[in-house]
Amino acid sequence: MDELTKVADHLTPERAPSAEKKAAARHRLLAEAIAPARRRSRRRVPSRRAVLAFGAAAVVLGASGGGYNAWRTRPLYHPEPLAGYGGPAADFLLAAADAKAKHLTEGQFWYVHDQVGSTVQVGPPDNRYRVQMSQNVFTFASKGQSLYKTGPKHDVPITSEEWNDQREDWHADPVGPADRAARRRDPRPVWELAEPPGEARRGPVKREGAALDFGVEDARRLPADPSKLRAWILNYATKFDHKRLSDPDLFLFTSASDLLVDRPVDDPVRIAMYRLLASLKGVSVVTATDAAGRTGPAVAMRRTDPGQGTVEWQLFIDRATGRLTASQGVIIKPGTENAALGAGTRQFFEVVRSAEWTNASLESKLPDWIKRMHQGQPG
Amino acid sequence: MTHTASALAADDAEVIAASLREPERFAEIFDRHYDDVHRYVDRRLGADAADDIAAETFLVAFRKRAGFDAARGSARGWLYGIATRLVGRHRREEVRRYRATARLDEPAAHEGHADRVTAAVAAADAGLGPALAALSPGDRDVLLLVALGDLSYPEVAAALGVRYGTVCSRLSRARRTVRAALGTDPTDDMEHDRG
Repeated sequence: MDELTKVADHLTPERAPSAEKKAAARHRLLAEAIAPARRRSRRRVPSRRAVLAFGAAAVVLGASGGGYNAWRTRPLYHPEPLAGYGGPAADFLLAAADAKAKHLTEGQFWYVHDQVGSTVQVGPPDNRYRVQMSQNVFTFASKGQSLYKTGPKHDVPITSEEWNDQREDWHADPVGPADRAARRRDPRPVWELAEPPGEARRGPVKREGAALDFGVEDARRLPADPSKLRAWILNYATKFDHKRLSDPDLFLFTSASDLLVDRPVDDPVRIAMYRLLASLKGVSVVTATDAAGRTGPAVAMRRTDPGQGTVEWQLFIDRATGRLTASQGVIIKPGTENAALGAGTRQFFEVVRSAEWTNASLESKLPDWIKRMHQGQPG
Repeated sequence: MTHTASALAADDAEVIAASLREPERFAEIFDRHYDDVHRYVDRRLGADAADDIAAETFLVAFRKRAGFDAARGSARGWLYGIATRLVGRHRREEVRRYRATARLDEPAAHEGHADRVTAAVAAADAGLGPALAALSPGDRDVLLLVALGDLSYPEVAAALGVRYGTVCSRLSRARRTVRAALGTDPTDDMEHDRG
């Protein structure tokens, strides 16, 4: 008997639903279902004058074309010539675009292996310490076709998959020597400390604009022209609340990794993203160390707010290949919400182990435990 | 009149579409699925809570019926998803309940061999309650939608609005925890996956 059956046997129902309760529930549902019709029927019959006035207003509104809703949900951003900022950061990013153009990847599938994490304070009240909690995330996406040729049957083709580590494989790395000593005094296994983020966080700075979590279909339609790409991204970010962003440049910078790593866009779109980043104001080049311990140049942008203080968002790019290798948000000056973490702490981070188009099979790229998960799936 | 499963599934989508014009048609969805939804919630929270939550599930579903994806066919997974979110408002009660079942399952004194075997099985099963209580809410929802609702992984993904791979990850974690509680090797291959 497998454990699912044991769980099912263990959780037995107390009783069948009572006929009385069931009838009451059905009555409530029907009351709700027919209520609007009743309310409509109880409305007063409008006077002839009111009907005429309403009709005239409707004609005016209708003639205005498109309607209020279309106006309210109109795209807020349009392609415009990009600003021409110069300086070391722009040079760095334009060099990354050129390097990427020389190292295009091709294949049927977009494969990402990311280590994502955040720093949290854990431990009992008398032994608090900071750890970088992280886990591996594997993403496999196609250009539209189903990922499974002979696997599980689905009504809608599965074009994107994502898996996270088993909890036994989570990492909890103490931040400093005092944190390391405190961790040694804490006997709990890593999974009892805290749960690492399941996907890369784009930092504490994202307080406005929708996450760029669009699917394969949208990813395949993205323009490779930097100014059109800028308008597309900002319109996606504002499509839900239709409010212009207070700082579009910050949004574009902190969301860059979504396009550069996560989404299955073609490499020309990534090149356009680098050129777009080169046009942003307030980007600098810094020397920093990523969560894998590698020190090198990164482009950075800062944001300050009362809750998170000043956080510097850093993008590490391999100048030889134009590949984003890591990103992180480092606390420069803590705010009220992250005071316990302290200045210099890597609050959110990702290390990009691999992000490439490939023709390799899904099975060849995945860890063994994931393959075992699929062995029992019906064909 | 008998329905095949596929015919019934097609009927759900058609009935929900028709209920947009004739709202009272939604009662057909209630008649088909109320008992299953009630049973599922009963097994997680008890019968009294199930009376309320099952009723609310159908009210919520009725209000959201315009968003039902007709490609799903059957409304079953959709309703289980709504019921699961409503169960989520009662996490503490649910966890208390699992811990209580562990105390009820504690084995009594035993004498003969048969008694000892029964007691050993009961002792292993007694670990199930704490194991279920210890699961994260997301992992528990996935595990119980598969184990109690008998939903496939894609159905669970659609019901909870998460990716298929996330369902795999959560279910794997949950099953390992349960296997460990049952005293079996949590790293053993899982031979009885339900897809």
